[in-house]
Amino acid sequence: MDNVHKYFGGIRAVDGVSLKVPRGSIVGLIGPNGSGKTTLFNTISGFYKPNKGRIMFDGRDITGLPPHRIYKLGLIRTFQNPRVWRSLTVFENVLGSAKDQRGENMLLAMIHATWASQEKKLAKEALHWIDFTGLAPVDTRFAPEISGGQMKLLEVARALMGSAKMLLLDEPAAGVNPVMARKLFGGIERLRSEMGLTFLIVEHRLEILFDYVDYVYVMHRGRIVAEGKPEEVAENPVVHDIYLGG
Amino acid sequence: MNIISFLVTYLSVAAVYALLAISMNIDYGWAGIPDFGKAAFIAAGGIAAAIVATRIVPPLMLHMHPANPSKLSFFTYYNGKILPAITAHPIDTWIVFIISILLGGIIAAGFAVIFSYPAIRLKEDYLAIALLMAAQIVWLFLRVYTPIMGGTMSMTLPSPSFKPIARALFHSTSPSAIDAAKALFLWGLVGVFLYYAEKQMNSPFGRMLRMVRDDEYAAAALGKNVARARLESLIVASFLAGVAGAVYVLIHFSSVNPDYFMPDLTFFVLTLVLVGGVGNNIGSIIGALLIALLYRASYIFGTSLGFSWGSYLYYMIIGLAILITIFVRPNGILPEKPVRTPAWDVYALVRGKQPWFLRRILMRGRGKVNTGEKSE
Amino acid sequence: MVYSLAWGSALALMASGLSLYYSVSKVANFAHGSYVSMGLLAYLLAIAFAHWGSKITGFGIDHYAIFNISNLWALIPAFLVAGLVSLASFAGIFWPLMKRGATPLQLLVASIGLMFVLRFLMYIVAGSMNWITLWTPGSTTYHILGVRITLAEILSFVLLALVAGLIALLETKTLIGVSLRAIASNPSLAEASGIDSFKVQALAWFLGGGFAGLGGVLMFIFTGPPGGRPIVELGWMNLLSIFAAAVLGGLGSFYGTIIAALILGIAFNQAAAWFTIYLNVSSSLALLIPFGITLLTLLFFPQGLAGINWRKLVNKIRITRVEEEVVRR
Repeated sequence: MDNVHKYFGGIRAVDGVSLKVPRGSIVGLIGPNGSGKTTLFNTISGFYKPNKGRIMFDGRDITGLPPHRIYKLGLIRTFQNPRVWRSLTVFENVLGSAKDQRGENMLLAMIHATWASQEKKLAKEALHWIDFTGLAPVDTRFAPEISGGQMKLLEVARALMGSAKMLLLDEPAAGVNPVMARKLFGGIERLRSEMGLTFLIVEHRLEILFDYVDYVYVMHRGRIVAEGKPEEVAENPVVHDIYLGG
Repeated sequence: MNIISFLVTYLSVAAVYALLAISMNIDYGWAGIPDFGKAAFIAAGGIAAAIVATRIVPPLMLHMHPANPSKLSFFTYYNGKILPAITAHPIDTWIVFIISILLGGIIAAGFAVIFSYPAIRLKEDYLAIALLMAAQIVWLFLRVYTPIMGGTMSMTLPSPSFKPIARALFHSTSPSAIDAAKALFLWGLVGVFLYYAEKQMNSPFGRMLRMVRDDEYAAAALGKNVARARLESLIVASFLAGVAGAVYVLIHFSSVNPDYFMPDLTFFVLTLVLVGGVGNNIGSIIGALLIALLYRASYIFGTSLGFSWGSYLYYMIIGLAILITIFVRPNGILPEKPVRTPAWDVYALVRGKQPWFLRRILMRGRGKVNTGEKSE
Repeated sequence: MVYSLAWGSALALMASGLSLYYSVSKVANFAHGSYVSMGLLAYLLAIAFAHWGSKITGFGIDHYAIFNISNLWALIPAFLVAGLVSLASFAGIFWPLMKRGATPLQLLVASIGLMFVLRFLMYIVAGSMNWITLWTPGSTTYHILGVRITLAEILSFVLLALVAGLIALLETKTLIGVSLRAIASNPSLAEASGIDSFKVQALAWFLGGGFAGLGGVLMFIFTGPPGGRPIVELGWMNLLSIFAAAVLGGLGSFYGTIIAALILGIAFNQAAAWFTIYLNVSSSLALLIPFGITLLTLLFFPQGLAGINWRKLVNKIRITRVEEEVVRR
């Protein structure tokens, strides 16, 4: 990603941010509220079009592509406030996030034979990810009936179901208790080592985040003000100023 | 009034309403599009029937000149020559019917493609009003532009003949036997609609529509093309609306007049869906049965009161039905069910148990209802 | 042209009422048309009571209900009745639903239900007075500077100016107006800062319904029963025009709505005249023009007129002018 700008009216929400996330790494993005992290996420995932700059993913220019195209390339995001489909069960929430479902075609949907076998295969995969994220006890509940922390896990499970190459996680540990949060980050590490996934994580709980990430960017007022290994960033006086001085 | 004949008429009316409701349930119920332009899509059926009866059938099947509804001589020629020629053969009336439902569906689907442009861009409130205005424009246009269906002069149409069916089924061609055959045919059509809607919606396609309805941002982030999903749901629903419109015109009224498609019709159909259960196809049918009963009963009761306002009593009934539903059961009589696909079979196989909602249906079949199944 | 503007002002009165409470409550209220008809019925009833004992049922009312100076007082009951019905529907239906977290679509559908119920109640009143079909009673006519102008036309301008002034005064000078704007822009923040959300919204609904009632009386004087249909349908027949104006003005923008209503009023009436004279088709088809304008605007500016960044547009024009001047020098 290179020199991305996003302006709203006269406000520069993201003002010339450049950052790099190497394949197979876990990168953290931190910064106080309103520093432009979520705007940046929305821009990367195609919800906003950048006013300037270029976003590259896997050697392809994805600047300005619509969200569903970016998803197809394997770059999947989660939301800060979980967005679940309320009329579907947890199982269906995960299952429905799969890529290239033949039965989603308006005409093929009528012909069961064309998609039934794929659906069954995907159902097995969905159950695998449900077990992985520990959502098995609630998998037939409707999505709004589960707890906030479980919704966060559900979002991760959905992204995994979409056969992601890279995940953008927006505060995955917010509202999750510390033990669960550490388990979640443990899972992220396992995914990276076993499947070679790449992560860009926005997180406020630095004490947990810093134990797992390889590299950290610090955003403030729409710009990257510091970067480096977690230990370096933790020592950086600029970061202290931002977090303490607002 | 004869109770049997009341029942038969009531059932055919309810069947027509059920057809309209199933169509409304797809775009409003499943995809969450406030399709307040439904009346325009239903009008497509009326347009199609008028075109078929005046333009397509006369030259193709009867070797007569097509009739032009904008000319003064239209009535003499159409009512005097063409109409008797078509109705002379029951087969011809059925050909008119079949071409009309196909053409109606196609015209409505075409409208859907045009209307989808705002449907993708506008927010709920704005979209509802924009579609309502579009329906009003279609209605005004049909009233004034006579070449399509003769403006407001109520063109009689060759409705399909049920005589052969009545003869085959009841060995009688009395009016009541014909009415019964008509009601049976209409409910058969409802069955086809229901089968189609259930099959189309209990699929990944239906699941995708619900995702788009529940949260379009999440749907987009997880790879659903929201605009396309909306367009497709509008096309499916409008095709059904066009078919239902042809039935509405040819069988229900057996004539066509733009005033059958006043934008108010949309609200009526919406009530059916809302009361029966948003997103539940069987609910739409139940809503149609219930509201048709209330409507007819309140109309008969209202007019028998002897006040000049009595015939408007049904407004009150429909209004109260909507309000009570919104307050007491915001999701209608039958709530929405999870989307049923083969995935649940896999679920049952892997987990070694049926999900609670499927199990409950099975249990009910055996006469044992256990409502405590939800907590696992 | 005077007539077109007056018609537009009556529409503006009705539509601005909708806009006023939409800005705070976000309800696309289809029962708004019923408030319009309620205002008309209240006006007729008030006059009927004043002439009790004379022949006031059926077409007889037309003789007394002519819009002249001595009947102006009857606008007050029109305003009050429509306002109170509107207030009652907010307190009895929309507020409880909003408290339960109903979606905008559910509120909209509830308003359709309410519309049907109110319509029936009005049919009882109109039916028992034998008023289901009436002609317009007309209005006294003056000649000012050679221009023929009716009292209803004058009054529609005066009332619109009064309403616009009243809202301007409310919004800038009083605490209520400030809270109104606060709730419109950020409801949760406004509530947190101690504003009684219910009271402020209730006021908006009362005024909004009242404006609709006033507009209804004037519209009836101008056009009579819509398309020869029952007078109760006055509101319903104008509902789409009301919504067209409100949407074109950008739902919830009070002054945007007034401007949009005036534009649509001129467009509709000029088109209607043109249609009947030159095309020889029914003037009801002229509704195509205002609706077409609204739909087209929505397609390009999904937020209506208020959503267009006027400052940016004006700046652009201004800058090009300045540049031109520079070039000239």
